[in-house]
Amino acid sequence: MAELNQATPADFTLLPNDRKRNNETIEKPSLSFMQDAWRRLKKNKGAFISLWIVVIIALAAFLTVPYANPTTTSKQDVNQQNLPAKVPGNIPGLNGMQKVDGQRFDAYKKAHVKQGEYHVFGTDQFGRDIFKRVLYGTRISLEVALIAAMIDLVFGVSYGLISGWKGGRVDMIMQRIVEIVSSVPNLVIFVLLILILKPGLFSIALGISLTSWTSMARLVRAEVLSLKEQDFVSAARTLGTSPVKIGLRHLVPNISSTIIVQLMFTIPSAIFFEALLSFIGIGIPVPMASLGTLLNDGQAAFQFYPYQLVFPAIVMSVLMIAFNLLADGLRDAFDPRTRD
Amino acid sequence: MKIIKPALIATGVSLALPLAFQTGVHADKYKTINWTETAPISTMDPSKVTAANDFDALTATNDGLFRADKHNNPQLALAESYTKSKDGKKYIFKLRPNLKWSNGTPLTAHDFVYGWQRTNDPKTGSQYAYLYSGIKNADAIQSGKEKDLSKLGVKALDDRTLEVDLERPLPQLIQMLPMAPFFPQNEAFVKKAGSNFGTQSKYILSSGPYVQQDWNGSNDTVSYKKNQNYYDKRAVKTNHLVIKTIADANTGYNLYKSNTIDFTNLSPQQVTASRHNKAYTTVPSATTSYMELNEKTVPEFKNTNIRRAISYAIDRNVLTDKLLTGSATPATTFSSTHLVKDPNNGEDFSKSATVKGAVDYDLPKAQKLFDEGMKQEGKKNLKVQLLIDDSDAGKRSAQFLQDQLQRIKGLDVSIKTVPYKQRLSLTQEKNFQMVISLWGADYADPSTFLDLYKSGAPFNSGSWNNEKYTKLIDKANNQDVNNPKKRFADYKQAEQIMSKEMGVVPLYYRSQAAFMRPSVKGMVTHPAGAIYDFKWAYKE
Amino acid sequence: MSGMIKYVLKRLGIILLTLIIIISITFFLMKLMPGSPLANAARLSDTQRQVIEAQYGLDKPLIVQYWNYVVNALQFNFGNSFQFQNQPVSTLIAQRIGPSAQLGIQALVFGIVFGIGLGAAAAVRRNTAADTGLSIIAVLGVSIPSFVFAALLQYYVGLKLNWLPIAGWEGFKFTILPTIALGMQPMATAARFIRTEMVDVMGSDYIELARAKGLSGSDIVWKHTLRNSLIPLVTLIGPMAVNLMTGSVVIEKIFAIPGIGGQFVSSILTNDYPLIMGTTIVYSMMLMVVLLITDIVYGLIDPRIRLSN
Repeated sequence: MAELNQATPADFTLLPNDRKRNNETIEKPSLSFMQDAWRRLKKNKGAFISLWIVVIIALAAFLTVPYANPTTTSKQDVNQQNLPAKVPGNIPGLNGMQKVDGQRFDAYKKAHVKQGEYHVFGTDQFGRDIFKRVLYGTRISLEVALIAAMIDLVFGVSYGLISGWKGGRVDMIMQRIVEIVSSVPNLVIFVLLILILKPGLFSIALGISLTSWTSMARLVRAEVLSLKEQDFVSAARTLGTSPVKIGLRHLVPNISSTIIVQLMFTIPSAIFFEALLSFIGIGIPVPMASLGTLLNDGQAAFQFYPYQLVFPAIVMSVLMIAFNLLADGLRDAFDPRTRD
Repeated sequence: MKIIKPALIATGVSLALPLAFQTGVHADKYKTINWTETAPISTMDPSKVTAANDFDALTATNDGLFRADKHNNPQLALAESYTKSKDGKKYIFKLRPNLKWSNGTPLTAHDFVYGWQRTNDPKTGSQYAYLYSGIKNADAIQSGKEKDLSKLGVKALDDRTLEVDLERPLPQLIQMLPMAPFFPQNEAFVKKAGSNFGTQSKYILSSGPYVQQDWNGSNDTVSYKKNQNYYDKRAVKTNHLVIKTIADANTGYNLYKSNTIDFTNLSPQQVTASRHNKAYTTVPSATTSYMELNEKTVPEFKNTNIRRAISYAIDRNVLTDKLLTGSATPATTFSSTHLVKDPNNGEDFSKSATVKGAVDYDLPKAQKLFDEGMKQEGKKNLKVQLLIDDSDAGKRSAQFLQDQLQRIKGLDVSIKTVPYKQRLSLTQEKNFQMVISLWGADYADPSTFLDLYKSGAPFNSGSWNNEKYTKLIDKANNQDVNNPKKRFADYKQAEQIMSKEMGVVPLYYRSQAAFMRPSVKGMVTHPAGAIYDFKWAYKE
Repeated sequence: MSGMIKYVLKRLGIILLTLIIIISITFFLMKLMPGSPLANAARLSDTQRQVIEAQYGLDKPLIVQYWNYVVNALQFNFGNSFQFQNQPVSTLIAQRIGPSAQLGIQALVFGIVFGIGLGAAAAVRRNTAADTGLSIIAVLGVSIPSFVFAALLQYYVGLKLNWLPIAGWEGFKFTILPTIALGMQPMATAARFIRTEMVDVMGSDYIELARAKGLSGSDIVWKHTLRNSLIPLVTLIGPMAVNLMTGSVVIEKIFAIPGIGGQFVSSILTNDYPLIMGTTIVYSMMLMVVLLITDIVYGLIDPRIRLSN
């Protein structure tokens, strides 16, 4: 014990003022939930590439408005109808040669197309440039899907929030309604609606979201049910925060991952559903075009003019695969169980 | 002797074979014909028929007093002779002897009386009863003013003699007699079947070449057998006929290519790739596609210059050659081509009535007329909506017309697409601005088209009113009714007024491009009424 | 067991209520629609029109029409079709529901069997090139619309290769191409679901334990992982059934199958309201029954789920 007393003040050094912080410095950079998800999404190569593909296609569709708009895409020159794809250079398959009714010929020469004029995806039966039509159609398809997703977001999320937050009798009734809506096949609801509303971009989007909002509402409700028992929500409630504010400030941020993933699934299925409607004849009306109507026109002629089907089909498939892989990737990235 | 024996056997065989061909069901000389239609049968009741393919099926299983031949001229069928009174208001038909229904019961003049009365009976709700208008008391019975069906101007003088009384001469009567609503109906059978009549094969009787076999009311494949009780069965070479419903154009094309079916309609794209094929054929139809301009909703359409401008802006050759390939020819009149010959010059009526240069493509002229018209109306720009149905041809024409019409500066066109039946209702309610309509002839006479556009007539949806036109139509129906030459001259003049004034804007005459297997012979097609008549058809 | 009966009865009650609501909604929606069933309406005299309207009960006050419709519809009597003269809608549907049901079931079985195979194969080779490839094959089913896929199948396999019939419904051979075309979407759904589930299960403790105990790889995959992933698959059958109903409309038209899907499309185009309403109700009813059955089955095979909940 005596030894201890031998210590002099000189043996001690003053700790710096910010000692506490220094000691608790976390070696890893601190990451918010979103940053962490982003990091893990980047690790998933398929999903990450898909993200870029979706971004590129969306940019291409929305930034080309001056180039591919209703005016330029409906510009007809019927004398240049059904021209196959042609790009500069003489690449077999993309050189404007065509075989119809047993004869092989240079379609561009036959239609007296000016030298140096190319249609990289060919032209359709009206002589409209398919490349422009595909850009325009992709935009319309994405718009339909985005509007449907927005309706899902606004209506489905608030429905789920209210149902989960209120609980009890309100929840019971609201859940019965969801059950009823989801037990009617979506095509049937859609057909009934579209027969009454004027067919158009918005009514088709509305028709699609008329059934798809139920899955969003269900997921959000389930999340809210577990969240509302947690301390931070109780705290907010005790402090007298209004339910609307709790919903927007506390609940929505916490379930944003679920919402984003669900939206990522809604968008491709809306695009897909619109395509199916085009085949039945109740899709986007002429003279508008969507990927669905382009595919439908293409399949009607694919035995003779395969390129009219191939190019829209490639764009559609790439977009759909990208959306689906991205949605899968996001789900994994947001899922705490797969965290490493 | 030994040498003879094989020879005898050989002779026996060669004798037996033709016998087998004549009598055996399994050893048919002619093969089964596999035909297709694009819609299923909806009724086999001759009073209630409306759909084109139902007319085909009814004509395959029935005969009227007359049957249309391959030139679409009515020829005596169940009737063997007829006389017509001088004033054209009384007809007497003599039926063939020993006529039978497919179940063996005798077919008599009473069956015609019953069938015709039933069609006129308002309780039946026949949508083709209007064809009877002009037969004594037909209008009164249909409107319910006359309750006694026996007052209808049709009587059986005996089992083989039918008398028809008219209120006014009907020059088109004989043309209409091959149509389903004029077929005989067996009273006992119809009453026994009750509300089931015409809803399944077992609830119908045949008076014609074939007996329908296995239609259950909704199936897609229906077969027909030769009617052994048909008076003219020797002319029927095919023992077995199958009609399938194929709704998708690609499916029909593929089935034809794989030898599964003998006939399929072709889409314009399929035509482009098939014109050199031996099986390629076009079936003409007395149908015109035209645009109606509604003067009630767009006052500018009352201006003749604007109506003509719209017509001059349309290049009909491009529309028919490049977009509706194979299924259309450019129209220059409202009355369709292949309808009837003009007795004054022997030409097709549509050709005879064409005014040179009145229905043509001339964009500068269109612009000039449009500017003039707009000046008269005191307007700068005109925005109109084009109503179409969602058929393939409708969408093709509309997209093309929109592009063509918008080449007129100051004219803006939008498109509204609705289902077929809705297009019909909207047109009839005059709730549209411009509409693409199709009109198919009921019978081979200009009245089937031109009577529609009399002032105030129910099908005058554009409300184009022209006094001179209406007077000419009335003259043709009254003063000149018994004088075919004068009557046609009236109609021709009316048609020409319409062309010059653009009462309606004719677009194209419709036809049907198809593959028909070259081994199928004797097929008869009609531009009006039943399109396909299988009576004489056979497949080698 | 009594809990089960109570649960089923309760669900049937909800189904009945749902049906009444659907019938009501379709009835009033149809009344709002423009267009008449009559092709030649302008040619009819007023008397004739009244007669036809009386035949379809259209002359009565709306509320009476509605009441009659609900009462009759609950007894499967949907009135007479407008398009098919004097044909009861229920008969029209009954005559054509067989091929639709057969096609739907075959497509479901095809989709699930091949979907499980693809999904399991992908999960076992997780995060390899093979996994990506299999995933893309699975997603292909939901990346090209069925009408394109069906048209390609019909042309190449049916016409060019001549392996299978192009269209029609005359025996099992005729069902193969439509089954594949219709089964692509359930296949994709099942494959992706199984892959995710199996990856989850493979990371769980008891699989680690099994591995530690020295069980062979294939035993782990088949006995433990796959089996545990299959149970939740049952819950997917409901959504799959919805897709099948939608898809069958397209497939039946292309392959000329005499089912209710093709009839539904033509009834839309011809304003055949009774047939549209009848088919709507039948579709909803089939879907609700499928949902009920899957819930019951799920409750039976997974004891953790209590049905009364």
